[in-house]
Amino acid sequence: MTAWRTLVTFTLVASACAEGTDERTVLRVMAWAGPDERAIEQRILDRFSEARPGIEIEFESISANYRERLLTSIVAGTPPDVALLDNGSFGAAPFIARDLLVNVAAYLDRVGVDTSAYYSEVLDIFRRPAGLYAFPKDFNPIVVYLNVGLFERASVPLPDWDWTWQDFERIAVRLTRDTDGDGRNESWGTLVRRNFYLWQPWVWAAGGDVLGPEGRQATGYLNSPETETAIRFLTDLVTEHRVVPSVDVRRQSTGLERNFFLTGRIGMIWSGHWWLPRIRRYIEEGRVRVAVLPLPRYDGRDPVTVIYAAGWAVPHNTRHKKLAVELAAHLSSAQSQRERAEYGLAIPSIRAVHDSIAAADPYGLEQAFLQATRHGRMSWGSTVEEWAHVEVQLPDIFDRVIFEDEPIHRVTTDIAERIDRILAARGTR
Amino acid sequence: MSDAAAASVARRRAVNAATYGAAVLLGISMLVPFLWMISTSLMDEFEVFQFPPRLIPADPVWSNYPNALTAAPFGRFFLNSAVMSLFIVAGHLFTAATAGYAFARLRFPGRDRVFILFLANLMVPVIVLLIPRFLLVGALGWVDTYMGLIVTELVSVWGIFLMRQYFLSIPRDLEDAARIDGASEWQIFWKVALPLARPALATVALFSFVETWKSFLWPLIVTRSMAMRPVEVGIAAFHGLYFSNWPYQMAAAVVAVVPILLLFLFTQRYFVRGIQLAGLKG
Amino acid sequence: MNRLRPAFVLLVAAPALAFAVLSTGIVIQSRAALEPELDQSAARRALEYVRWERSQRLAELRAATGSLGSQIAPLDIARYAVYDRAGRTIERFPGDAPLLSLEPGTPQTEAMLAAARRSQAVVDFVTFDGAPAWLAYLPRDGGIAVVQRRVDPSTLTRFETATGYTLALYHGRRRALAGDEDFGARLPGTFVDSLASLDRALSLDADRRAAAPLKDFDDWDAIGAVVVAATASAPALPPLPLLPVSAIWLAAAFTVVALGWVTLRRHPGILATPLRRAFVIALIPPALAAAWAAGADARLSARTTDAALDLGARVLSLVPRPGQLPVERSAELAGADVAVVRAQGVVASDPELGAATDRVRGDPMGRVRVSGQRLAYRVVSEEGPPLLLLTPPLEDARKTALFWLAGLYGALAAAILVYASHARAAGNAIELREARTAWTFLSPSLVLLLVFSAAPLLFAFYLSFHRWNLVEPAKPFVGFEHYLTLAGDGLFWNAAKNTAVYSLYVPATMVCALAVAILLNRRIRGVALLRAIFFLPYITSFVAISIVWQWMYDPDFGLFNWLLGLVGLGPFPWLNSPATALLALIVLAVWIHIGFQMIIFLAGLQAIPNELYEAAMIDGAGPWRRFWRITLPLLRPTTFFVLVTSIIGSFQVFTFVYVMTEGGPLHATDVIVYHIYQNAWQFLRMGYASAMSWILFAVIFAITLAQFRFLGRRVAPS
Repeated sequence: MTAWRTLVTFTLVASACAEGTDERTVLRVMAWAGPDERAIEQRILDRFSEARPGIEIEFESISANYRERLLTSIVAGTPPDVALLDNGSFGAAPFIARDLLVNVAAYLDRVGVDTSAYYSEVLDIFRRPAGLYAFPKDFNPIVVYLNVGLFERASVPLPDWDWTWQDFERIAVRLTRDTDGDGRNESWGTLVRRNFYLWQPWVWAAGGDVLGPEGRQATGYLNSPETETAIRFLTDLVTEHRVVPSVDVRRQSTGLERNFFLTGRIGMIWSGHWWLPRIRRYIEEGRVRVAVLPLPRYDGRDPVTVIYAAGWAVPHNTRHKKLAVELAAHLSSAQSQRERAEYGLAIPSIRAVHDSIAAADPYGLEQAFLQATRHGRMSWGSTVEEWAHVEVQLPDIFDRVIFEDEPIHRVTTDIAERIDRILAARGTR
Repeated sequence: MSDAAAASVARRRAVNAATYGAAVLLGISMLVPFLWMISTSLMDEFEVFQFPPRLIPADPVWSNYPNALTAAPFGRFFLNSAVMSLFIVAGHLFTAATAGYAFARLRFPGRDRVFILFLANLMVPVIVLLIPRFLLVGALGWVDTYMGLIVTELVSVWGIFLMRQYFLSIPRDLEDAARIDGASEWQIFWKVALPLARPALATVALFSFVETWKSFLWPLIVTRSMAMRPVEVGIAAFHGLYFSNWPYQMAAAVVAVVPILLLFLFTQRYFVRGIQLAGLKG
Repeated sequence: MNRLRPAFVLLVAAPALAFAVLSTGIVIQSRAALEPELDQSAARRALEYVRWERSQRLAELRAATGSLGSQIAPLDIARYAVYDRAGRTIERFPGDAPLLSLEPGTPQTEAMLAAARRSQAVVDFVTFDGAPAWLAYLPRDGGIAVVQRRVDPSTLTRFETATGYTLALYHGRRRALAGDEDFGARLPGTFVDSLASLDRALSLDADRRAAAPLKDFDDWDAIGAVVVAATASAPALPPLPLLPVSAIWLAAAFTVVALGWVTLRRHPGILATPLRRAFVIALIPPALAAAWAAGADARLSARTTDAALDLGARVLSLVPRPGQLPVERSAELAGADVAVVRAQGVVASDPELGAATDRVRGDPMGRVRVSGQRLAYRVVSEEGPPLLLLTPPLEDARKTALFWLAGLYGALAAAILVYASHARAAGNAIELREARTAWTFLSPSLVLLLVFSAAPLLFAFYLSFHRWNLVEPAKPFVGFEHYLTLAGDGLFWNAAKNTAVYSLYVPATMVCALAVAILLNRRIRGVALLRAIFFLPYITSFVAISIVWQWMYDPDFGLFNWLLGLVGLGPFPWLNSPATALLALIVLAVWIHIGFQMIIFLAGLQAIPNELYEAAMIDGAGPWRRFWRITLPLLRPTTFFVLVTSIIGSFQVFTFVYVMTEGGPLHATDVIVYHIYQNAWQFLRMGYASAMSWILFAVIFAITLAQFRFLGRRVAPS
């Protein structure tokens, strides 16, 4: 019976905890902050709740299974008051398309947000003709990181900013070296990733695209000569020039690729701003020398890169609409962006903040990001509801070209048809 | 005669030594990834993933451990995991022993069909059950409480199956004797069958504990505040979307293994009763 | 005689008693907290009506101003005026009537004009000329139109719902609509002063009054408050949060009553002592009360919903012409033969509506399903196109269903028990006793499994015939569509093939694990340590293991290729090639599960009596012979267990694919559960994912059944 008594007592205590009274207002914020960012976000949130007695903020932030946590709480009718959404893996597009987020355009004045202060490229990701559905947090253009030490060891001069695909390929070949003559390379020029979000800018740079202007059709775009030029260039790096280690399965998320870059095994990697916080520290400690350049441009075309951004959105059925919108605006405010930028995982979406960060950067690394932002385009995930489904089809192109040696045009045509079927099936699954 | 015996002993010794050696070698191969985990937990980012692989960190970063364990409220995580495990293991032992015994030892109409239906509960991926379970727990008001963490998990069909199989392999004679002596069904279960099933109970307890301690997705979904999160979910907090602190994560993973190992060493004694006696005789 | 008693007490009566104590405890400790909560929920409901009313007004005024200047229904629009951006009057109607104190320069005017300049329509509720009025400020033709709409005092002045609550409405610090004078007069002064800054519902005092803020049309600023108090005649509300507890309690109570009945039949003496009799009798009233409470809540909520619809209908009856719908998106409805107004003012014209109207024909009020969502409706207009007023019903179908489900389970358990005991009533006493004991032993697991496992499973089954994108509540029925799609989904069948290949790790692991278990089932030095080492992979965080192995598998920098390179082999691509990726996962699975299966085999080995080995050794049997003749046959139940559970587990492999390969390269490691995961959570196709889960379920079930048929017979109890 003792066990039962314990269980009963325990249950009573547990349910008492669960009851909760209505006297305090709790705002729930969901985000995917990592360990270092969490402390910063918590400080920013504390600033909000300190100014408003009686308001408590629950910050739920674990990057793992963010999608599942957000969706289950929405399904259960208990959505967070403010949720972080982006135009990549945690896309805002399906929510906006179904009118499930508060249109904050109506409240810009009341919460004191001046949209002209933001990068319009970033703002556009969350903007629709009918309004604005999130306050931008920060963003990431894709740029190229160069390991200066490896360049020097291989006696390759650093390229200049206005470099082309040919330059990139030439340098990659020269960086791929077997220094000790054991038949295995010690260093490689670059790394080619299957994940589409990393090869999107190359497709644009060659003048191609995945979908048509309306975002409803892939045939005629994914299998256009321009897109195929980009795919050929990247796959040739693997199969013809052999300037990359084995094709990556999922190195990106495990942190292996950054380690290979830092330790001088890979000379050039394109990635986002999120590498910078750690790398900056290593530069300060003198452990590595790094240069950052915009992506090379296709000869005869303008440079271009892709922009991934996150924004603070308010679900339409929040119980505290005013507070939630105010909080979302607060999270996106210049001061909050400045605090976040001190750590610097991504680029502040407010131009003035970015400028001041770039001006204060002793290594000049931010300049490349400023440059890249000017040529930034938002990814398809910003506007295409089904993007998550479309995007996972695209690595197949690399796999089939590299492993199966299929002709590029056949593969792209095939995948384009598959994507068209997905897009045509809107709302029927 | 004594020569032959001596030869037999010598041969036995040789065989024993060989098997022992084989076990140790196999063991080392099992251990390598784990050793590498430990060594990673003592490295900094430049040193990990080296080539050629290096097992011993040149300059062990011992501070990874205190840093990792203070980076998040790990004390609270451990407490939550302990509470959760305690109740779930107790629940599993109780349900597995009673239901397993019923399926193995008691005759009733439709027993095997009911058993298959019990087993059917193992066959659906948890991924699709998340939503209905969350709705249920939400309707009960148990989101972000111990109740939500515990109640859905109280029965282990796996444990019931294990106990059933174990009871099947124990001879019935003792129970029948007790029955003839006029013992009640409860007495037979409690005083005769259960003591014989100690190794199986230890196994159920051990695996329930491991499973609970390591469970990730459900605790992640059903908890909201840091204060309710168990260890495994806490470890995931080191994993950013863009960046993962592997040394920290490995350090936390190494620490998280310790309680399971302790329990394992404790349940050890239930697994060492077998043929070593035969060995002594030879 | 009463051999069952200890088991009965421990397994059934004790949990039931615990449940009883538990629910009573919760009632007592949460009663105090409950009361204001009830008030607040009433306040919130009232607030919703008011909000709804406001949104209707706004839409109506917008529609009306659309025709400003040409034809204005004088009855409908009391006055209007158009101002330029500076606040100067451009035109007004009626021409001579003083409209508002909207003189330039006053703060109120400035605020309004500012809002209007932002191209926002603002609707406000004011007391004007001593009468309540809705005002709309609408940006128009470079100016601002201000429109005043009459309020029919009967719709709001006194508001009594089925819950028996009185409602008062405050605008700012003034009472906008009079309810019961006394009720208002007793409000604390400090509260009235702070009305404008009220931002959440709160309980006022011990008088069971609650207040909720009344916000402006877009839910932004508090412009007043709704105050709710219980009238003397208010029926007591059931304790809402306790319903689920009651439901579970009820299930237990059902079981107890059924068991008690059976026991009583067999052993009339069991109620001999007064204490036991009291216990059984004490079980009955709470069970009845719980049943009543659960039912009462549903009934009451339904009545409240109906009252809300009535109110809505009265408001809608003010709409001048049925053709001119008081809705924002009325243009979209031009071709529709039916219009639907939902409570929040959202309008939908749905292909399924035709069917819905067929179902509601002849019944002015009730519940109807539209796009898979259950809604309360009321037919508003009988002439012209039928106009349905729809609102999500307040009665919570989920809770009610849960209650019925639990009751059903209880009844089911009771039925099985009764069946079990009576089917064999003719048989011998021992068998009967065993059957009863068995069901007693099974009941706790059974109840928990039914609630937390079988019910979700059935939900998934239900979903597999519906379309659901998770972000919207609507779940339209699609019949077998998902299953048909599945048949043509090449990727699914590829995943199925990969899963089947992956499950080959099970026999491989079993051979290794059995060998290791026999190796380590002896008292040798350091055996505990060795066992722990084999067990380590299984107990370590799978994510951490994934990382380590991913590095070890790295074709260029990994441990394996380095080691193989030392002896002149390789490099192998491991995870990075469609040809070898699945094999690499299988190797990893073997490595992890050896320790897991070893422990189970070790436990199984303990059940083999030493005497058998001793006898065999006396007979001169060698180790190999002992293994084949004694170990393996006697270990069969364990082996069977490992095989069945591991196969079931292998068909559900997910974590390593999710963390290490994401199904690639070229879908070589795409397994069914990963496919299900992607569809459910990434592509938001939950219905399709549920259909796949059920196929998977059916396959595993068939395999398990086959195993029992062909292998299980030999291990079944005699």
